Amino acid sequence: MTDFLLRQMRHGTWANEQLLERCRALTAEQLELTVPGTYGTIRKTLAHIVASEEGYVVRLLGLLLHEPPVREQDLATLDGIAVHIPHVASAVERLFAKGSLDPDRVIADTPLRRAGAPRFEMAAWAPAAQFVYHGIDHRSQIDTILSTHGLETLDLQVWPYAMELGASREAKEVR
Amino acid sequence: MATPALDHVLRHNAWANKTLLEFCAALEPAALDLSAAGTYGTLYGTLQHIVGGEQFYLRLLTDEMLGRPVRKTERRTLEDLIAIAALTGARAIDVAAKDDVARVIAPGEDQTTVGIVLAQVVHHGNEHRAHATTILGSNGRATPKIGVWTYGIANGISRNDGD
Repeated sequence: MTDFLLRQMRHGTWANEQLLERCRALTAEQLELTVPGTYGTIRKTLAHIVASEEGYVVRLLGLLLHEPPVREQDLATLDGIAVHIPHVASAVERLFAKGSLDPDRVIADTPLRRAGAPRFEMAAWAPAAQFVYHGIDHRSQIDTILSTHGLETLDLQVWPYAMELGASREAKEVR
Repeated sequence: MATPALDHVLRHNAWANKTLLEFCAALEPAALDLSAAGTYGTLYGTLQHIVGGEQFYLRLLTDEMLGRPVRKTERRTLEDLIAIAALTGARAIDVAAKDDVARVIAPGEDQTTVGIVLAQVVHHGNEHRAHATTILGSNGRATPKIGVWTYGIANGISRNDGD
């Protein structure tokens, strides 16, 4: 049986991929749209989602995914953002390669910590749960920006993801 | 069986609902009619939808209606929504701990699984809570901190305030 949290994190990666493709259909000007009360522009928000997710999985794995590590401010283009979505997807699979996460395992530090920055110890469940929360929160903001400006939005709920996987479907009665 | 890590995802969901609802209950009543373009609706309508949606999902999972049904056509007090959210939040945690995530449930002609509905519970709550904070922020209001970092600190199980 697939770990439930793994499914939840895979849904996040799937939603990011869908959103990236939607963003590729936007003009450069549309990518810089925003609305008050959200994180920033569409492009900046998508960069924030992906860079943060790399940060969460790096903390969970205790390993950098690549050198140099990604920083949000470096992700100025969709192509630049796109490179990192598979990094996150692959890291998520590695996290669960040996089974479920131990939620109470204390993570002493992150390889991404900058010199002089405070060190946080935290249980593994915290960045894992934050991964799920954070992506949905900011994808919702992009959805808000798109619809506010009269642009087509996406259905990124779990339902279409499950339908795509065949995990949810209309039941056909056999007579 | 669900993992304890998922348990925290669902505990955060219940805590975030409670925190947001209590924050909004302390606002002047007119604030509940605030809205922002591109979100679900008014602040009140969004809160009602969060709670009503979760009530619906838990009914799919358990065949039980927790609290009186939340309907779009009836305005309920926030205290009432807080009480229902407490029931559904606790029950979702219980379902995740005890139910089989692969168990097929078939509401009407649609077929899905316990795991998919639980994942949707998490998605739906986070998405619409983001709408609520967008409405508050876009109207120049303070917003409650309802992320997982704050959940960890509020419950005395984490000291990290985000990175």
